[in-house]
Amino acid sequence: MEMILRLEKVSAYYGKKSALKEVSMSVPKKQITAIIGPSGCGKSTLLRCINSLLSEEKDASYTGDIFLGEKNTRDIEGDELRRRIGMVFQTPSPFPFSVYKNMTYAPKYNGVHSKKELDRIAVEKLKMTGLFDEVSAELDKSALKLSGGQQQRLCIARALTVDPEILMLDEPCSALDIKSSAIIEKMLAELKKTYTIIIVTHNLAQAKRIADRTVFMYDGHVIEEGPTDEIFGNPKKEETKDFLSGVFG
Amino acid sequence: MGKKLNSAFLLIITVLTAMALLVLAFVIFFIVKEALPVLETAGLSELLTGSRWMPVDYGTSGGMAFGLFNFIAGSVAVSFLAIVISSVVGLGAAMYLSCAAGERTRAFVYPVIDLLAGIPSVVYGFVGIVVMLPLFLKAGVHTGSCVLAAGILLSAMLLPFLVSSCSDTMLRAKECYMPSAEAMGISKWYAMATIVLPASWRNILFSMILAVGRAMGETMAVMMVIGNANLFPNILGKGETIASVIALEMGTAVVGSAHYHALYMAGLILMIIVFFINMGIMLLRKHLLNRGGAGNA
Repeated sequence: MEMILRLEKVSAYYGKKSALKEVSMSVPKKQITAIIGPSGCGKSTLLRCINSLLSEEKDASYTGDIFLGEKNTRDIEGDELRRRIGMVFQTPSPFPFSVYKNMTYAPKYNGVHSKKELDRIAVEKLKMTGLFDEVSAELDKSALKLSGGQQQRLCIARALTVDPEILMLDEPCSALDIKSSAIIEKMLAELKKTYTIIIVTHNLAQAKRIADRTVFMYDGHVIEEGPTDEIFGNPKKEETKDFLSGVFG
Repeated sequence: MGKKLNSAFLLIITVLTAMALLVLAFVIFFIVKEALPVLETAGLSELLTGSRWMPVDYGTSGGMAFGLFNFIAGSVAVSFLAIVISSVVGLGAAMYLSCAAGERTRAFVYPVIDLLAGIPSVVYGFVGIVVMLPLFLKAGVHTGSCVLAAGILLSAMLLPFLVSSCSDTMLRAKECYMPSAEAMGISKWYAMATIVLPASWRNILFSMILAVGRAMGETMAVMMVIGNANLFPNILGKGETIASVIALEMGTAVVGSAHYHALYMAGLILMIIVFFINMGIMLLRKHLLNRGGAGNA
């Protein structure tokens, strides 16, 4: 199994407060890796280390090494790294433009100017997220007028417009209803044919349904990682068992 | 019992709300009532377009005249200058505070800027006379008093409100959109200019409306540096605003005289102008809102 991302002893700090403690893990290519764990265990911080957003924050820093393919991410320019590792957040946040302009914003920034090419990117990525059929007639309508679920899928499609290798999603469904969540889960299963996906989720059933691999985090540590079936079916660590059975969470 | 208490409470707050509306209605009624009699002496067109102001008959040739045109133009000119200056400075400051400054800088600068709002306008006027007018005098403006001085002074008074409301708006837009933009590898200042600024535009306009209202009505500071001469406003010349003519002359106008009613008319006109400016910007804002921020896609 080819690993696209490897973390070695990554620790993160906000000021003096430590949020991640020597986390080592790896992410297999073109699979879905779910990160589960109780609130405040460092899941989101982990994502922010991976795309180096953490280093942009004041008073925050991380140590340890993260490898994207063979390359240490510290040797990659921040913007370039984030172009290669996309991220979608909990709350859908389409830019206050039209659907089309949302989809062409980043490609234009990256120097794509031919209308034909922009159209191609927009249509292709909207199709990937299953949104194209729903919005094809109103591409110039404000993205803010879409439903919550559609907005979130637009955000995912938008993140894909820069052709990242890895797509990270930070609890993408927690602000959505069950039906919209189901559509997104189905879409992610399709997307993993093309992209590597890392999803942070509170929803254990969701992790169980869609993830090939699951990482359980607690108090800044990775407690256990492995194939999803094993983590859910036969957890080896006491904390994992307790968390999965709802002793804490 | 609980139900009775509820309805009693509802009644009280309804009456209190009605009182606020009544006060407004009363003010409008009173001003209109006191303003209208001047039309017996001077026609509306003379009031609006005439530039001769001779509200008391001193027996000079030409008799009494009630032209408010120069005062109206003065109010508009000073307010326009002030809004332009304070918008430029305010937007820059708001961008810095919302996007470049850290939490700690913001926590320090916000209250300091708010302090500007707490300075009484007569103190602004005083500082204007002592500090600014000598500079204008040195630069060759006779007596130093001029429309530009009033505009600058007024812009300083509008600044705290514009800065705090604009930076709040931009901070909210930044928190909403910036993470997604950064996560796609877009540089901070590009995202600032292309997402945060357009997204905040509507609220910035709204802040400007409120500032216009304040600017048109501001009396004391403007009166102290504008020179108060019945002239068409020239950027480096003297002028007089509606608010200052009312403040300067109301005390000496004989109650019930044409002069007295003319000053009320000036007040009424000022109210109407502010009303129309607000309406205009409101419509513009609604127009932008309807486009749903679709931009020029």
